Amino acid sequence: MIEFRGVDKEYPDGTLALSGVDLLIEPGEFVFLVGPSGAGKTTLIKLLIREEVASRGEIFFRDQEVTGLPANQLPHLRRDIGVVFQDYKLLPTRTVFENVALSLEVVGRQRAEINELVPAVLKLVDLLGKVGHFPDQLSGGEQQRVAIARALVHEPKVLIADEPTGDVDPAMTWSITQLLKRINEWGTTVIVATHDVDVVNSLNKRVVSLERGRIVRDNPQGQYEF
Amino acid sequence: MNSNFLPESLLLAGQYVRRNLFLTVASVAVMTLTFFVTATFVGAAAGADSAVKFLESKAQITVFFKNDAPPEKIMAIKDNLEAGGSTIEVKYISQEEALKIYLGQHQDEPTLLESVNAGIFPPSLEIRGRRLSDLPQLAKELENKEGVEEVVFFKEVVDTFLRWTQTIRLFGLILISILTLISVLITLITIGMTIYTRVEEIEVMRLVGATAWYIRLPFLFQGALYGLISASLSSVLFLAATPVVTPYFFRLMGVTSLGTVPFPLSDPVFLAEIVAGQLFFGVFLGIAGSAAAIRKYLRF
Repeated sequence: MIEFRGVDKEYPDGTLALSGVDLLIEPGEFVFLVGPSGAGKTTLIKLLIREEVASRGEIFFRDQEVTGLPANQLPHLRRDIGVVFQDYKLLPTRTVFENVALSLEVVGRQRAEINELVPAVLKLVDLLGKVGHFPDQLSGGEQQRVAIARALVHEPKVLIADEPTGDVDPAMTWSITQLLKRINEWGTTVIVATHDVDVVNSLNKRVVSLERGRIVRDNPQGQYEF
Repeated sequence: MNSNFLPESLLLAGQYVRRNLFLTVASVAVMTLTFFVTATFVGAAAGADSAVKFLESKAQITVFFKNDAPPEKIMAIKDNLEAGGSTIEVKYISQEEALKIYLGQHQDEPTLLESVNAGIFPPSLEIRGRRLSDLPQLAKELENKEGVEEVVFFKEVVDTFLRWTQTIRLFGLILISILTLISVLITLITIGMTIYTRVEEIEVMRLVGATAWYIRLPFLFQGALYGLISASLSSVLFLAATPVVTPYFFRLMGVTSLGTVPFPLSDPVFLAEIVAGQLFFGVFLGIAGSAAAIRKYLRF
């Protein structure tokens, strides 16, 4: 489903963020990308959704080469991949409902459908009581769950979460971890970039370890090792 | 294209207009001024054209011959003028016909009719030229013809009128060009500011799969809305000002002394065309400004 073949990412200032990355992720997998800050986790995600372009190598998503994808095809790629960004990227002037609805609006879903799907997904992330709230009226964990709801509402093939438990308390961490597990059990491929040892060790899933832009370990049922 | 696409974009455009109220007011004010000035000069140009037709419908040059000028010489000049192509009509008025006209005009004033006979009226040619601008040259040529006593034409009126027409056209063109440029620039700045304040939102839209047109279209609609609002305001102003200003306009050009000039601005069809033209120009200008802003600030 997702394949990186010999991918390098070098920034204009000469920083090598990824080097010789080969990675294959099958449909329905749950994969942790682990490593210290600056290891290349976020860069790898950005390359997959073409927020950044690889300097060398090829990236495939469902048999489609991402690096050379024309600009008018990018929206279709991004609609198949739901991303929970590290900084959430919630819009401060939009309510919880409107933030989640955005993913459906941009793909042209009908208003009636949006009114049905958004509450359903907000119920899933336990935020139904906060539909009219603005992001700055929510806690870090709640904002994180709005971001998950937005990434999930259009039923993407792949859900990517970048440090989803970075700013939340242990109880919320557990809640978010269980939510991601459940989403994976429904058949969605889930990729989680994290350096949260407890989260990785609690699920016993595939762990791909990155260090200085290189994959140093790939364990099918691994633990966090650094 | 999804059926939701256009209404959603329009709603979003309305939101952009409302949330940038100060810039909206500034843009609309400048664009309204542009459209009002444009409509005014278009109206003035139409009035001038109407006055040209009016003046051309009059006998524009009268050539008076000496009383002893032989009719065959006068008829030769007449034939020459008709063959020349710069005249629509050349009419010969003999001394007898001139007397008849005089008697008809003064039949209620018996004192003016005493001891009047055909001998005191000079024979003449009444000439209608094809173009008003040819008249001065034509009059000059006729003055030098043998037997010609005097050439009379509405020199003052024609000169003043032609001067005003040229000034209106030139000044109007310059002013409209400058204001159009300012309107496009202010729309560009306003939409640019809107884009700038929504950089975060645009980035998120792109990342969740919005197409380029989904992001661009509301901004194009925003520009079109500015144009539409401005053109509507300008139309209202124009329709209100027309009946007040029109008489002054003709007085200024000095053509009212020749009679009532038929003016197109009292024609509802012409007024409707002016309003429709403003709305079209408004939307076009708004979209042009938006397109420039999108090209400059939304590169993806």
